[in-house]
Amino acid sequence: MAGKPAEPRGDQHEDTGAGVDAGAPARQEGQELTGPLVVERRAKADGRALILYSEDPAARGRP
Amino acid sequence: VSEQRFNELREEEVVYAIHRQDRTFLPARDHCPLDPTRPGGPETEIPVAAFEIAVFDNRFPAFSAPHGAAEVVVYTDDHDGSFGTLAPARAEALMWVWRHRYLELGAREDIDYVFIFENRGVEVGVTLHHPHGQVYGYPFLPPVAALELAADARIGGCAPCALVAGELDDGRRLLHQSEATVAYVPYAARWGYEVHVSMREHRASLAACSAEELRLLAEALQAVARGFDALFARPFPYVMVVHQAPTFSGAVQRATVPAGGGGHLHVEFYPPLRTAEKLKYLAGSEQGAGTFISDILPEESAAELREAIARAG
Repeated sequence: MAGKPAEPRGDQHEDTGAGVDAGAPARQEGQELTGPLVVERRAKADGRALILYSEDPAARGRP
Repeated sequence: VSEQRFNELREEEVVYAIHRQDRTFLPARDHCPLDPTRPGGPETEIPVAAFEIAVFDNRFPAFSAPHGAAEVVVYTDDHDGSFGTLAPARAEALMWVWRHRYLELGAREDIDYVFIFENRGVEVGVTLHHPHGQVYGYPFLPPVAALELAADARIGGCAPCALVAGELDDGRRLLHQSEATVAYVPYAARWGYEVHVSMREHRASLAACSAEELRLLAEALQAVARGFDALFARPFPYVMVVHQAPTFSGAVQRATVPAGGGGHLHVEFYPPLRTAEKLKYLAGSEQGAGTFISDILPEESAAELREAIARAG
């Protein structure tokens, strides 16, 4: 609880999460992932952040 | 820009976000800002033709950087439906999105508490019907989170862990169980059909959960949400909130957190209905004295909800 949660930030990282198989199939280079999801960051026309999350097909069947 | 003022008598912050007076209010179905932007259709908040889960900065934020955050989490591009009717895989994905927002917002120095919630139904002030929730990043520790820390300190350990053990031992208010989760009407519920869904083992936050635990959490939350709708055979309004460990890093706050305490992931539902047609209002005793007067015993509402959850499947 103490301190800020540690997670790598930026546009190239994989946040596998506790208990997730780190040996999952390799994904497209440069993709940001969180668990079974692909994270796509965009900026709206007025500058506000927009994040689209979609299921990562490579994560199917992962324990 | 919001203004924050400290209310001395209540010992709490009050946030003035006067720009929110102009926020979108119950738009026509074909002008929903949370729909995807269809070819030839109106521009919405989400400029793509289809999506799974979308998160964006609230256009009318109560908090914004560098003094917090306010995000909208859209569960699906399907305007109809609800959290309870999402496909199980989508509900599970939502747990990962919540977890991601907790980690990312919690890493910010200007945010002390990441608060994920959903308001469902006009009875609790919903202004958009499209299935969605919100995330607030508070630049301070809000009172309810502080009370949970104080409960940990009072009992000398994790209060939600103790409550789960007590509910499992008693058994009369249990609604749904899995290897990872326990859903129950609390012994001292304030709302007639209040439900808590707690992690069975101590998990400070979504970040501490395994993939299987996140899946089971989604399953439990959906079971409760579907049970609510089955209870009175109508869309059941509620406020759903996710309580987990604060993310602050201040030494003073850390010193208030006892060993084994300081946050235990659980989700609380506050439904305003006390019957199929009647709302529970927060009136004199609740607002002026801070004491809830409930019309339903938790053991009775638990029995009704158990049957409704079973009926909903």
